[in-house]
Amino acid sequence: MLNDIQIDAVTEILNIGLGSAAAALSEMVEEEVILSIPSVEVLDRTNAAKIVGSGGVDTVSAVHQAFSGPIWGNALLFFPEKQSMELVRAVMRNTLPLETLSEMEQEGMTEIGNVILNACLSSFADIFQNPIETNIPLFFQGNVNDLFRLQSDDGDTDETTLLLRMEFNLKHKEIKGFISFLMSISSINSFLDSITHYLDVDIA
Amino acid sequence: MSLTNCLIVDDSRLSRMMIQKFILQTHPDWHIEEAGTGEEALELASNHNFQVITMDFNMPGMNGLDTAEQLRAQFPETKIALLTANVQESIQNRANDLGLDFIPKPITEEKIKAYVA
Repeated sequence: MLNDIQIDAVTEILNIGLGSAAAALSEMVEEEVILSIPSVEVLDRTNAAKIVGSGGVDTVSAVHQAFSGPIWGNALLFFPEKQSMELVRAVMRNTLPLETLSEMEQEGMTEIGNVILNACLSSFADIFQNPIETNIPLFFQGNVNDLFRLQSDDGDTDETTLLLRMEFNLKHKEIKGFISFLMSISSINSFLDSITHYLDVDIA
Repeated sequence: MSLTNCLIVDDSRLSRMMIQKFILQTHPDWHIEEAGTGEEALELASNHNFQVITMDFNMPGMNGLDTAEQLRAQFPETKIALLTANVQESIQNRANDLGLDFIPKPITEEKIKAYVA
C-alpha cells in the first residue's frame, strides 16, 4: 500500500504526465480537453478491471503500449467502444474522406494512442532524467477484464498493479477516455524511488 | 528546377497518408515514396535520391534514429526530420547530434507545411 504522501507524490507526477497527454490530444482535436483529478490505487488486476467497469465502461477500444526503463509496465489508453469511432472522426475529419473513416478506425486509434501515451511517458522520462523505452503501440477491442489481463513483455506476472487513472473529456463532444498504467510491485517501488530522487524528499 | 524526391517513413499508414496529403498541398509536384520500416527506408534510399525525409522513431525492427544515422552517413545533404510522439529530451538530443530536425507528433497541417515550406 502507498502512504498518503506517496499517493500525493505519484498524483503530482501523474498530473504532469497526463497534462502533456491532454495537450497532445487537444492539439489533435482542436478543442479543450478537461482532465479529472487523477486517482492512484494499488490493487489486483481483477479489482482494477472491476473499478473501471463500475463506471459503465464494459467493452472498450484501447491502445496498450509496453514500456521499460526506470519504470516498466503497460500503459493503457481506452474508451468506451462506441466512442472510439467518434474520436477518430474528430481527429481525422480534415484528412480522410468520410467513407474511409470506419476502415481506418483501428489504425486511427493506434496512432492517437501512440501520441497520447508517448506524451505521458516522455514526460515521466524527462522528470526522472532517465530514458524510457516504448514498444510499438497495439490496438485492443474487447472486454475491460481482458484488457487488464495483458502482461508486460518483461515477464512480470505480478497480480498487483498500480492503477493510475485519469479520465478526460472533450469539451464539446461526448467522448470520455481513460489512461491507466499497469505496473508490478517492483516497478512501483522503482517509480517511488525515482520520485524520491526527483523531489529530493523522503516519501517512504 | 529539378524534381524533389521525398521519403515518408512511418509504420502507421494513417500517419503516412496525413503527411503525404499536407506535403502535396504545398508541393503538388513532389515525388513521394513511403516506407513502413527503417529497413524498407534504407532500401528505397539506395535507389532514389531523396532530398527530404520524414522519419518516425518507434517502428518495428530498426528504429528511426538508427535508420536516420545510416541515412545521414550515406546522404549528408538530405534534409531529415525525426517526426515522433516520443518527445523525450534524450531522443531530441540524439536527433540533434545527428543533425536531424525534430517535429513532435501529433501531425498537424501547420507543422508539416512549415517543415517543407
